Amino acid sequence: MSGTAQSDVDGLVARAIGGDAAAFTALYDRFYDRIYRHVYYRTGRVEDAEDLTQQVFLQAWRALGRFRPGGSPFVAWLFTIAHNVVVNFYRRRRFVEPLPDGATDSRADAGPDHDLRLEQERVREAIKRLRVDQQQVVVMRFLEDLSHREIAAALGKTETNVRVIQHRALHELRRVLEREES
Amino acid sequence: MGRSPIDVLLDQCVADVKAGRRTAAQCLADHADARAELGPLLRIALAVVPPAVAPDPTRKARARYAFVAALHGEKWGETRGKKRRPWWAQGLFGALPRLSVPALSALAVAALVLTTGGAAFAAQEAQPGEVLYGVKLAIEQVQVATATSDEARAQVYLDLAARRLTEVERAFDSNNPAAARMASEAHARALADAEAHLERAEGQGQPVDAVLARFEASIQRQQAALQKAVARADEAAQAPIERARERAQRGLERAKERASERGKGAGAAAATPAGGERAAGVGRAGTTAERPPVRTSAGATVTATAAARAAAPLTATAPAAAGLQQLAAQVEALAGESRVPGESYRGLRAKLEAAEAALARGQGRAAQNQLDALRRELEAMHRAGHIGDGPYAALQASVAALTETLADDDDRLPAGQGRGQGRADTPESEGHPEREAGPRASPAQPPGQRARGERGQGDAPPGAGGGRPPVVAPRVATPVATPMLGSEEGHGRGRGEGRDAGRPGRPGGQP
Repeated sequence: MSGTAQSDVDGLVARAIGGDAAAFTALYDRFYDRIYRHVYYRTGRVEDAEDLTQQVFLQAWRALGRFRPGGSPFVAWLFTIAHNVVVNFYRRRRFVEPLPDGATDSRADAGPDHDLRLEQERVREAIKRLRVDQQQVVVMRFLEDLSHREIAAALGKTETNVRVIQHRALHELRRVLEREES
Repeated sequence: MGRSPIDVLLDQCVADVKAGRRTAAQCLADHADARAELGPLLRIALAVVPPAVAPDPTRKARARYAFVAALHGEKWGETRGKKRRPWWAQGLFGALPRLSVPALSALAVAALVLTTGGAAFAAQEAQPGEVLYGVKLAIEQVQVATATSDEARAQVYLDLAARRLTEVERAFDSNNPAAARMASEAHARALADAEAHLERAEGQGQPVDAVLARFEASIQRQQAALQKAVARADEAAQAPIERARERAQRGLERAKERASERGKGAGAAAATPAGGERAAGVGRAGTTAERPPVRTSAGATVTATAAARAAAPLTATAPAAAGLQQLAAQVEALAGESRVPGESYRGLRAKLEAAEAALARGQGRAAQNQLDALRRELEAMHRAGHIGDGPYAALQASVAALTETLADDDDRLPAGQGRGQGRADTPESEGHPEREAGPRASPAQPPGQRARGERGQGDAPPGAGGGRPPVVAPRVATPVATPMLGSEEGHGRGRGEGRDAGRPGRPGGQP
């Protein structure tokens, strides 16, 4: 995000913390698609992504008083809430639903890179088997392109800790995928 | 634990590949010694990609309005920062966020049905920060969601922009700068949404002349109101209102540019032989830039383009065009009247636009049917208290005058010209304005006898009625001659004499 855009977001966040619903609506408009894609990646269903994205923003509005400007970026904070919402969603269901047929990436049938897309799908499924903190770090790092520092600030961990979690998560993913292949 | 060299390499490779500086293969070739360990990890890291999905725009809009409604409800309830009770202890409204978006919408509609005329109507008066404001926004959300095209959505957003402006004015009247600020920002967003849908409608080739004219007229009116609002605003509220004003100004300029471009495009088409088919369109768009704003008797300013469009249909006489123009301005002015629910207002505008379109096609009778429907809807709205006595009387007088003008035009037509030219004279089309053929007339008909309108005047040979405005006359006297103040007659939505004749309570059945 450019400096100007970041400063816009900071201004909106400051106003939203002061109770300005219009400012928070502007933040909703700005980040809705990103959060939606994030949740969709984790759930694989349009209906769940819509419902959970709404929950993310409602919870963010309720918890906004606890957000500390100048710490982690606002979007990283939103992703943390999104992660918790998704985890609770699965916890309520007590099991991880298999990915519905129609919920795979729409690019799956679109081009010649069928193998690549299958691999992306396998990785997505494998991520669900990681520990919760590992899922969070992998998705924030590689899906959302947040830096280790931003992830650390959002999760209340040190950068070193985040790197360790990432390292273990990737090796666990490798192990899971290789076991599947064999 | 320190960083392993593989982790460092992995981060570099991922960053380079995502930035397009290197491919994965190049990266592995550059670090051949670490390839065995780096390769699988890089493959995994690069396989974590965002899904190529985007929220469905309609569902997203619905979700947004549900969210804004919930936001205002929570703001009112001051639940922020407090621990929520479990859902089973919150009652119905606490459980709402657990429902899906479609379920929320259905619930909102059901609530509207159950509370017709009660809370729903009261919510129309709600201001930002008030408890019913969320209901108002939820109702608006349903309106947006049920609009069937981008052109229709642009119309809805224009209505919403007008409502937000009314809220700004009322907020100042009640010395509530916070509400004025919120409404100003929402106004700017509604205008942006309207413009976005207008552009999409244009891109899809949908007819946007009417909405474009409305867009300009609305913005002009809103500009004036915002100018006044700035003067009344305190320091905190001035910035958002200024932003809204600038946004409106930019929208106005872009709308004018678009109208100008459309005029040029139509002009270019007219220069070609095939362009003759669009002769009427050329006349309409090509004159927009030169006309000054017109002040109507209703007190609303109609922009050059709006005036040009109202006067433009080459098939209407000048008095008919002026009458249309005045009616358009009056209906436009109603947008600012908070007593008018948005849905009813849209109905009025739709009928007016249909009348204009019918005139443009040379279907005078269909235009009169639309005016008749407009008159009945006005009566219903007046009975329900949605329109004040003053605007109602003025609107009815305008409708009656316009109807008489159309009837006069018909009377002036020479026998055999403009009446039923290859159209409603056949028994099967009796009473069905939509079947009034125009270009869809019998192919065996001589070209000179073909009804004009869709093909404009350009294809009418000399001596075949091209010398006078071919307003197509009704075959029977119009049922509307005078304003029907206090009329007890029914206000059904008859679509023509043939259909309504003989039905009790249907004005179409009256002589």
